[in-house]
Amino acid sequence: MNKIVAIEESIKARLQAEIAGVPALVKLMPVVEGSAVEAPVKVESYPSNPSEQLLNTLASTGAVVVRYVGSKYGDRRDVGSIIVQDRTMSYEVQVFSKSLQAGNSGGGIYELLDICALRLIGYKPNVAGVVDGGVLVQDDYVTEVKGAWAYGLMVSFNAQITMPV
Amino acid sequence: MSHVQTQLMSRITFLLTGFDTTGNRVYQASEHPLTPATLPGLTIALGDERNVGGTMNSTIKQVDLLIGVYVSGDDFTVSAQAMVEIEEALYGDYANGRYFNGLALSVVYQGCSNNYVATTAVRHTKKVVRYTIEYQTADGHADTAC
Repeated sequence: MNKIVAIEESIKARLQAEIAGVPALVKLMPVVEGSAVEAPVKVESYPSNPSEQLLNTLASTGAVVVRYVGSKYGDRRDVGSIIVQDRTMSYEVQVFSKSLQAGNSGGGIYELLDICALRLIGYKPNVAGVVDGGVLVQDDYVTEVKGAWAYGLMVSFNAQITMPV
Repeated sequence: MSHVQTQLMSRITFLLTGFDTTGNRVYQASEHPLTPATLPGLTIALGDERNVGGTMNSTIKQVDLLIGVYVSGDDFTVSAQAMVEIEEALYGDYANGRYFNGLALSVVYQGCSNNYVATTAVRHTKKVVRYTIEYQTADGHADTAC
C-alpha cells in the first residue's frame, strides 16, 4: 500500500473507532422484523464520482469521507550519504449531515467536526516516513444542497522522503 | 598529505564519535539530515580562517570550529550532556603542549547559540558550539602542522 493510501486508511480507522463510541452517531437500523443492528456514521474514502445525489445520500445517514489533498515539500538536504526532503501531507475530512447541530435524529455537522478534530490533533499514523502527529489546519463550509450540509476539516501530517545516495 | 584543516576534521570527527548521547550520528557537514533516525546527532564544520601571526617562514592560522548539536524537540538534558561530552573530548586530546594529535597549538571555547526550530518536519533544537583552533604551518606547506 502506498504511503498516501496508508495514511488515509489510518485516518479512517481512527475516526471510525471514535464515532462507534458516540451514541448520538450510532443509529439502530432495522434488518428484519423485530431486530435491528447498530449502524454508526460511516467513515469512507472520498467517492470517485461525487454527485448531488450522493451528497444527499451521505447527508441522510450522516457520513465522514477522507481524501488526500496534496503535499508541500521543504528544501532538500544532502548530508553525507543521505538525501532528505520534508513533506507536509494534507488531508481533507468532509463531514455530511442533514443538520448543523445535534438533535433527536442524531449528531450534527458541528459535533462531527469536533470529534474529527479532537481525534486527529497529534495523531501519528503508523506509516513509514510519518515523523510527527497531525496538525489541524482549518475547517470550513463546503456546500449545502437541499438541506444536505457538508463541511471540511483540513489536517496535515509531517513526513519525510529519505533516500540513501 | 592533506591540508591541516582536513587532518583536523578527521581527528575531531574521531574524537566526537561514539558518545552516549549522539553515538555514531556524526556528520562532517554544515547541516544535519534531521530525521528521527539521525537524532540526536552532531555536525562538524570548519568556518572562517585568519592569519594571527607567525615567524619569517611560518604562519599561525586560527580557524573556527562549528559543532552542531541537534536533538528532537527541546530536550535540554540531552543537548547539555552532549556539550559536556564534546568539551571533555576536545580538551582531553592534549599531549606535549598540543591538541589533536599534535596538530593544534590551542583550542578556545567561544560560545554557543541555541535555536528551537518548529518549521521542519521534525521539530528540533539546534545548538552551535563555537571554538577557535590555532595551528601553525611552514609557509608553502599547508599540509604540515609545525
